[in-house]
Amino acid sequence: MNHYHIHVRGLVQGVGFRPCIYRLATEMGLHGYVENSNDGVLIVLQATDEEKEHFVQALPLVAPAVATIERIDVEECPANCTYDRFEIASSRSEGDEITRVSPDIAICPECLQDRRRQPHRKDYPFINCTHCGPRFTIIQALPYDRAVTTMSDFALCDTCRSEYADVTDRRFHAQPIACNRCGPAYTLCDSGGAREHDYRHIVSRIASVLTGGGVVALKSLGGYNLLCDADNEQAVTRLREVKGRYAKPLAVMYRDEATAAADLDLTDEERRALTSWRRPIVLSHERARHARWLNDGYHSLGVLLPYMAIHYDLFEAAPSLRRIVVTSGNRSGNPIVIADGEAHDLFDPQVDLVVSYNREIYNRVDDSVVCEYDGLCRPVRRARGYTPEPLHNLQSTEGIVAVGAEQVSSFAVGKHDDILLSQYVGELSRRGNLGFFEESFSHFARIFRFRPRCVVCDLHPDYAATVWGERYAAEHQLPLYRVQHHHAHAAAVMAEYDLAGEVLALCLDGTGYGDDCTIWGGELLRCSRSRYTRLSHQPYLPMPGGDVAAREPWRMAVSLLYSLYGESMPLPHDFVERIGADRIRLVCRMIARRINTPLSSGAGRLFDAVASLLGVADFNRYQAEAPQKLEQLAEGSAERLYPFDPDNPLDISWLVVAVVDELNRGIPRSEIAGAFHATYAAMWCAEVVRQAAQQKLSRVVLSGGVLQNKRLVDRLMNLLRQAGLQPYLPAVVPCNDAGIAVGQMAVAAAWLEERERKR
Amino acid sequence: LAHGGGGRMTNRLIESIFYPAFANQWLEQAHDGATLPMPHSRLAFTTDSFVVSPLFFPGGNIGDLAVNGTVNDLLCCGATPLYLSAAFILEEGLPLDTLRQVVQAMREAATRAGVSIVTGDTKVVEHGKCDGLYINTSGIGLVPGNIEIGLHRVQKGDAVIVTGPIGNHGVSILSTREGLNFETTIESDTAALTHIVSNLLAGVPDVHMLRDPTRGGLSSTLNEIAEGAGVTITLDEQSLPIEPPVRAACDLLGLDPLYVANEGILLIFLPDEHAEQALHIIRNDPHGKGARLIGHVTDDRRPEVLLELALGQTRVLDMLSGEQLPRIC
Ligand SMILES: [Fe+3]
Ligand SMILES: [Mg+2]
Ligand SMILES: [Zn+2]
Ligand SMILES: [Zn+2]
Repeated sequence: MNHYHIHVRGLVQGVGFRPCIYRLATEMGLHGYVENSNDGVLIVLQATDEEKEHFVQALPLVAPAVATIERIDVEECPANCTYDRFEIASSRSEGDEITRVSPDIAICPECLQDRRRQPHRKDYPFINCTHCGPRFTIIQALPYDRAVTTMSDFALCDTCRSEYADVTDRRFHAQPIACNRCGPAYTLCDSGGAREHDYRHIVSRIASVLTGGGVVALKSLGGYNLLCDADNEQAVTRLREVKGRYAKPLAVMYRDEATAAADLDLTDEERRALTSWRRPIVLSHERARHARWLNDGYHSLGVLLPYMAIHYDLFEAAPSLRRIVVTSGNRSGNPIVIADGEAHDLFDPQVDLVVSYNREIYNRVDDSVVCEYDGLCRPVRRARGYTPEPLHNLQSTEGIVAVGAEQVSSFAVGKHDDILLSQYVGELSRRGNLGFFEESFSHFARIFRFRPRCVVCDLHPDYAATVWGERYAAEHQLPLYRVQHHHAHAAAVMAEYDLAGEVLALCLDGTGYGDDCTIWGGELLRCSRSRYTRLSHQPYLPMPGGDVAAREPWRMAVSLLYSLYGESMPLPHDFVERIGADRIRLVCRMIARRINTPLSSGAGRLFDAVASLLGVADFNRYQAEAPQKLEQLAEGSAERLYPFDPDNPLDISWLVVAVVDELNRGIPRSEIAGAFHATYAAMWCAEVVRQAAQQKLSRVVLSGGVLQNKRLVDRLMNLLRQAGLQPYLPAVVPCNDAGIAVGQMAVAAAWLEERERKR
Repeated sequence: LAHGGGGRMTNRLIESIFYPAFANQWLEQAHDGATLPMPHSRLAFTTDSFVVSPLFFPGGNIGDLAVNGTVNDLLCCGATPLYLSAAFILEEGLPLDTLRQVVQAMREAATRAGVSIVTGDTKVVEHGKCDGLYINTSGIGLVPGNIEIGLHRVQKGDAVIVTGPIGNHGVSILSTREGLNFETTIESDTAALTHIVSNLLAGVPDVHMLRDPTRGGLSSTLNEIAEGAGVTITLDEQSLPIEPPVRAACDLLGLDPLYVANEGILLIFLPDEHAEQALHIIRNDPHGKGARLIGHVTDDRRPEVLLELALGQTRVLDMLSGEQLPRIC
């Protein structure tokens, strides 16, 4: 018999991992113990070499679905005692080393069963176990223990206490353990002010309001949601008014997978994401189109499945409901509401029912959104079910605060060599979101016992996050570093894939402040984590009016043609009719005189321009409306390529001439949109291949918001692979600006390490 | 040097170069001018240089600006403007007629404002070394004993009033310079607001702050006040006076009228209970017809300027570093 120390690292705490180890060891008849350690669990095993091998191989197989095992280290150690059983050792008081906090987990199938058979949890809506339930949303501090969660207000009843203490119980050490006798409960408040506390009545009231076309505000895991029958156009219109969101697509919760599959062309990967414990919103393709009021006429719809007991109960109580709109409860431009008082103030006058429960939400999180790109569902918005999973970094990140970008914002804090990316926050020029940013930052700092050493921000001088970072650094007397936007985009992908050395980085983005004071966004960089050179970029286009040109794609259409043809540009007639000759003339004047007209190499701006030329969107009512509609227009079109110059693939004039020519010849616009996508992908691929050969590099990281265009990404990835290159598309970090903080931190960590080494 | 926009970069320049070099307690009042102690009285003293292009624009010329701007700065100190100096830097080849017109405009503006131009200087520089004509004016005024205006007076609960529509001057200059022929010609509103201020100071018991929101617009000036006084200023978007042609021009140009330069308007902070009376007094003056209550000092814990939008959103009005740079990704 030997003694082994088996150190398992990853997300293995608070997810029922130790009882699994206990069961495995007991089944195998092995002795020793398991305990929580700083960054995982430590198993001390008394076994033969062969048994130990068996045990280690079985570990990943018995681990709970939520657990992620990053590393298993086995070490033989002197046997200076004998164990006569296997034990779960009680947690020692931990240092401030832990960085593993589980995200929130959708209710598990066993708990759904238990609600039917356990007398004290009959129908209990807040049932949970070590494999499921609230985590991040209720955690206030570490180590993870009920006393430092918002469950601390609820004293355990005797039954729950004994389950909590029983190693063989699925609720062994389940911190949010609760039942009908001792746990949180729902309260309903209707528009007349009447209150209801009986859960079954509450469910049937909600069900009848939803069936009757009403709108309900329901407190969910990470904040309040607004709900209504998704198939009732009037109800959805009312919900949109409550929210102040009139055009942007809404997410829909289906009663079950089968109902969703009837409406949507679900791929296997989408099904996997949809039913995973993270329960994100999955952007999927509709089989038929009938509900314009939900998704602004797109062929795609954001769908999710029930993740709390009350969702299941609602559908059960309302058999006629196929699907409901579930959207964050807020006024557009403000963060999702978490406080009950605020919810009542905001929603009481506007909705039919406000349903809350008496457990506080500590960490605010929206629903996450994923979309399948190149065969894998990747996060577009990373929040519930993902936050605060850390990302490993090659260099130490200790004490780094990365403040992120502006419009799709998030921040990150560094611990050891982990990057802890915050949840999606939203546009920071809005005071409410800036408050969310500050609140969440202070929570991260508290939970992870974060001690700041330096601050890193974007080069853009006027991002609210930059201004915040400057102030924070000044107040705490910390050094401040600035990282170029697209270097950060690239470094985020390098961090995700643990890439060291140098890579090519293809950044297809909207707007990022360049180191030459122009606006970048269609860039090929050669970069390491600490340095970059700009190899090539999409030709500059004037942005008449600055930001307003990003909101009004027609300006980019004028800009694109004016740059190529001058005053006599061949604008399509319908375009001139829609926009008006006078406005076009004034915008030309702005371009000619460079009045508030910065230069931009942004890929997004080219997509805007073409979208407007093809008549799909002249004004963006929400972010990226024009390029999304352009992508949709291309659907089902033939794979056709316009010619381009192989020696200078980024010369877009060929592309523009071809588009304009086909438009004037009356070629179907969907075909033009298709050829535009295919050609744009091919042009970039040709450029990357050319540069890869010159630079002698074959790894290509891809990032930037424009890569949320599936048609473009799938083609690019295929072309790059066919060319023998290794493309890396992020799968954990969002490719949009919500991933910027990760890249900022990776760059700052590399700079700090280089400085350290020079000493 | 790239600090022209009147935003954070300009402030940084002033804070890092001029303030440390010239440090004294009067400079540190950080106001439109300095208020200086005198035996039995207080003196207000200010200076400003004018480099506008074009020299002539709808509603005025560089001469009007040079007098009105310095007079308004004195008024913001609570002073009665008395004497001005005028220094000219002239480019070789400048038509004498142009100079005559400018000087004539200065004389008329001085008469209207009730000040005398009592000293001056002229330098001629080689062709190409300046853009036609630059003017510097300095001004002196007396502050009555009972008047106390300054950052230290700004406090929670104060009402914020603007004496007229915003953005006119900046848009007028820009569209004239660039030959943008908008449907309506937008005129600069340059004017000395002597009567508004003297009537106001005589008519309401207390005024806390007066500022002319010139370079960098309303937003930058309010940010300076918020920063200096350590307060939150909240504006209501719907109450901002913006004339439709100015709004339309700004929409087209992609400019935020809150960041566009003004000349003929003042920002006034005073106790909310006097706001109605103040508006009444201001609107009695021809230059104050468009006066509006645009917001309040809502907090004293955090220096920031907020704009409440129609749909329950609140926008942070930041001090820009310089130009309005694109941020939308
Ligand atoms: Fe970006
Ligand atoms: Mg001045
Ligand atoms: Zn469970
Ligand atoms: Zn219980």
